[in-house]
Amino acid sequence: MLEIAASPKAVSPNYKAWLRFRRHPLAVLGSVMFIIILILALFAPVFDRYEPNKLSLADKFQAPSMEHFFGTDRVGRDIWSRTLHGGRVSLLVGFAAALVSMIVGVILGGLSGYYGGWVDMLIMRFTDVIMTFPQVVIILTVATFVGQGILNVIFLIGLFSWPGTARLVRGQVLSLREEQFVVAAQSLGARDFVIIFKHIMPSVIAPLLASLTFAINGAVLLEAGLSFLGVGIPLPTASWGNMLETARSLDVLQDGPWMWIPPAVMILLNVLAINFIGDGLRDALDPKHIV
Amino acid sequence: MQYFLRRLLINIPVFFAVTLLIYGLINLAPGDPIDFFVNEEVGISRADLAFLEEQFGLNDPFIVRYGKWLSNTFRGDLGFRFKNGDDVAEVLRERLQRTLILMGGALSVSIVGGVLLGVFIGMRQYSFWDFALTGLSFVGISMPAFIAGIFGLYLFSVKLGWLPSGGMRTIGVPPTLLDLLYHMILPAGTLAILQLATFMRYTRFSVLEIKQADFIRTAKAKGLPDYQVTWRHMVRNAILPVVTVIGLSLPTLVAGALFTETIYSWPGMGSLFVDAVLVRDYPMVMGIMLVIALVVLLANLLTDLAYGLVDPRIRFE
Amino acid sequence: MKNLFRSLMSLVLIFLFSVGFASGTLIGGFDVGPGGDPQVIPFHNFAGNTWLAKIYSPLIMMTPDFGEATAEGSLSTSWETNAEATVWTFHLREGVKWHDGEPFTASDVKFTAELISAPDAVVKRTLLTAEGQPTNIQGWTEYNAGSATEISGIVAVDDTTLEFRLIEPDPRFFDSIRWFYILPKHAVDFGPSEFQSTDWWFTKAIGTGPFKLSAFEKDQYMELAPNEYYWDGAPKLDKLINRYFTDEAAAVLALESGDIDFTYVGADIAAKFEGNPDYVVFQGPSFVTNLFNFNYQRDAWKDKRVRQAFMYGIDRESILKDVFNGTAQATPCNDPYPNFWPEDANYYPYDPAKARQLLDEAAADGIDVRTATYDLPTYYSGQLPKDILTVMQANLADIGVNANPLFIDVASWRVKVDQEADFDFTYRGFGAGPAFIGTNWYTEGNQWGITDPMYETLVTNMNKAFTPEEYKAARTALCSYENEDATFAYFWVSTRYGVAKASIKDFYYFPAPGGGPYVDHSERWDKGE
Repeated sequence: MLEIAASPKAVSPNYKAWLRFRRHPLAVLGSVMFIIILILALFAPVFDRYEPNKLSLADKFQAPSMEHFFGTDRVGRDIWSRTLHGGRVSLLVGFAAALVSMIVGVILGGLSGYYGGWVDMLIMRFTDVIMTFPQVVIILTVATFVGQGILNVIFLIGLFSWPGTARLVRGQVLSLREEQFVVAAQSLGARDFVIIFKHIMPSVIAPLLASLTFAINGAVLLEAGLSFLGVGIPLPTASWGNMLETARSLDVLQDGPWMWIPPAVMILLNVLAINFIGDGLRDALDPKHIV
Repeated sequence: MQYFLRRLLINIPVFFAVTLLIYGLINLAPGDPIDFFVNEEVGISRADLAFLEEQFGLNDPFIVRYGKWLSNTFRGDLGFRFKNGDDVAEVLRERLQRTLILMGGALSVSIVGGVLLGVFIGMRQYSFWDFALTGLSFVGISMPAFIAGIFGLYLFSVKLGWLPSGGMRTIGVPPTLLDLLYHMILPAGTLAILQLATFMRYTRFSVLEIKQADFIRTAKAKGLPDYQVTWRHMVRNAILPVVTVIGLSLPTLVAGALFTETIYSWPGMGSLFVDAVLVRDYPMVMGIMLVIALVVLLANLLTDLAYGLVDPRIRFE
Repeated sequence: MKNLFRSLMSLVLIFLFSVGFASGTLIGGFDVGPGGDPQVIPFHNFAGNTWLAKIYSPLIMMTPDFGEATAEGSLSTSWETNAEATVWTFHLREGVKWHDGEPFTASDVKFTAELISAPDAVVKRTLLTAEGQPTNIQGWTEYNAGSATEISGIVAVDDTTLEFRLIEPDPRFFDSIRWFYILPKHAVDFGPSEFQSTDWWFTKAIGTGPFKLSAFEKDQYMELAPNEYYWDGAPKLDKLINRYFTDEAAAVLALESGDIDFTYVGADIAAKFEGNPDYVVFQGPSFVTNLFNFNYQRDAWKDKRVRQAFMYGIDRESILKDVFNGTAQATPCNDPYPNFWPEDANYYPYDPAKARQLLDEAAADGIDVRTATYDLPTYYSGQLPKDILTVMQANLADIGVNANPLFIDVASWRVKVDQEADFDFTYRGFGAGPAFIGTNWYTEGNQWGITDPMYETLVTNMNKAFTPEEYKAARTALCSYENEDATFAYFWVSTRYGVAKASIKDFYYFPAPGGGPYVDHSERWDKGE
């Protein structure tokens, strides 16, 4: 840290953070893991060996073999292919829902921090109300009556996951609001909207990035949890969550571990990778945090 | 104290907003007691449906129904379950107790284990144990309850047959504490994993921070024996901030209980909630949400109080 | 370490001790769904009859061959009707005592009927008779409306003779009161409006069945003790326990680990126990036909060729063989009872080419079901229905029809299907009894808009049929017509299963959760060493 501070060149704080991130061993490990998972999911059609939804009753319930790397399920679909394609869906839900929650969180947190007063009061109390429930409780309740579908799952998760982000953004904006460049912009008569998004947001981006990684994790886990309880991604689309759900039927749990271990391990690895990355990001952005 | 009172006052409107949210959400949903009178395999005619709807008087406006529900709720009357007419409040008391047993077990295991291990590795930074346990703690915090639960069930119950697959006691014999503990190992263990890892990480971090603190150096300089420095000065001070984390872990525990209880058929509030939501037994759903909200709000308050005690500066904020 | 070992050992000892202690105690997950619900109360649910009949008794029961009603094991010894089938006389068993030793009389029957039919009763209308039509009993409507002080059509002639007087002739009335469990007039201490909320059922319940309530813990179990007054001799078991399970997997694991002796299981799990000498697998038809219910309010389904294409287009043989593993039987019509199936029925063998051709022909006349994507709602849940619908979806895609299975709960189902009829076709069940078939599915006022006068004629003929032979002929004719018309796409009747330890003596179980109660002589069950 000292060397960087002493370096004669003016380096942006975000760049410094990147340098620290690159040297964080867990962050690097996590990034590599995550990139592998991402490639497997993105290029699922390249790596798969069968159509993920193609069933073949004659080949049902087969243990792993050279024909089927991870075996087949109860209607003869290839688990390897479904795990890859399931990853696509799970990650899509993870990213999209995290994005939705970021957008809502940034807008509400920004408004709250910038305007203060009763706007702040109202938004923060609303945040308190939403935070009173563990997400899965409230989402499960709503999920049962809005119906199944990938979009529904994305929006449900996104719309109930923003409070953390909102608080983060509010805190940042609150501290920046009094900074000179903001006050200067205000005195020049810049519109509030412009000030918030042009002057304040760029400084909020870095901490947001760290919180985004955790939001993705949260969303992937929520999707899996909801699908596990039977209200997530509808059939026949595979997702890690609804593949794992088959383990709730006893013959699969007992006699077909190949059907549920792959998605379980993928969820675990994915969450682990993102936690590594998130941890690295947090350490990188907040040097005091490294001990 | 003033700070605490202020937090308490803020929480009152929040609580009312929570009740409105619960009632409003449930009102958007279809479903009423009639569902439990209809046999889908036989079907029901429109005339019969109308007959039943009138019987149950389901046609008041929203505000009236909300007001009725709220005033009943304050009198401790949470209504009756659609499913079988049980008194919701009564069922909840029983179920909550069982969930608290489970959560209490998980929480004690994770606090004791987490703090001890945290101190242990905190004192040995960069040792083999530090790396091993820190690594494991990452797996721990990445392990959702439904995966830990399924693995636990598969390994210890289905494959090895060491532990019961569910329930909270052996039916048919008088209940004993040991029998309860025996049934608790898997579900409480599942629930504890994530918390244990979290507490361990916090303790470790806190120990590392305290190690640098001036008063520790002073104590060492005074020539106090190592163990005394460790236990009397360091650990005590290191644990205090961890105490505040416990309150914040409650929502996670509740969410975990939902899955854990479902997987191990633990007859608590979590499995009841999943059941009730899936069959739309709304009085029950609302009752449980209310209890969860109360518990979380209370935990937040206590956490605030604990913060205040640990860090006096907060009072002047 | 030593302490840990010691406590582990004591755990093991306790465990062994508890298993040894349990002899003479039969623990099971009875009747409802995967594990059995010990919280079921009479007149409230449509299932639970196996368990209810252990405590309470109805006037008639069903024979183990799923056919006729029988007096065996029930509160009446015989019954007869007048020539018009408007007055039914039941002769009640003499010397029957309630669990508390009080004598059972015909007035208890009348009391029970009035308890559940009172104007402020929380349960009624659907409950006095299995088909939900108590309005045919004289004076029921008046009593229910509060304008009469008793149900005039139910008459306790003397202590052991009871008459039901009907408005319209009903030659099969006896069969419709199978779920009419009799409650004790002297011991019921709650009013009609407290029917559901009282805890009488779990603390003070009194019936005439072979077992009586001894302990109950909510959502855990209900424990019964032998009824020493039981008219057919006191049961041999010391205890009969119904343990509560929320899902099938937990119940089966408990069975395998020896915690319980018996449980209801799904077809896929039953197959695992088949051939294992330690277990006995019981099976019986579900008496529920699974079908596609078409909505005739939408034009596509008015074309018979489209409906037939759906039957030819689903690979029933493969689903029955590979998904059901042979645990279901193809049906020709709605009726799930094989004795009413015509011999010359068309089973629509799998023929996707023919299905496509039929769809082409319909398309040529302006009805093309291959252009839209249809939601396919069902209220079934669980892995087996998911597998079935996955295969059906693929089959339909093969003939060019896009369907999205939607697994919805009963509440959404009721709004979407029963109230708003907002669907194209659904996958659902149709249940029936040996003397009852729900004709409201295709006669006047049905929710999916079938307006076929032929059905009115067929149903009228069936209802008029007096002798069992006439009834059979008329019901078979109805089935024939449904089959040819492909009014719905009829698929199969599944088999239901129970698995018990082979060591239980004289144990009998009829796994048809919605039907029954069946005579199973639980007083003879034994678990001696």
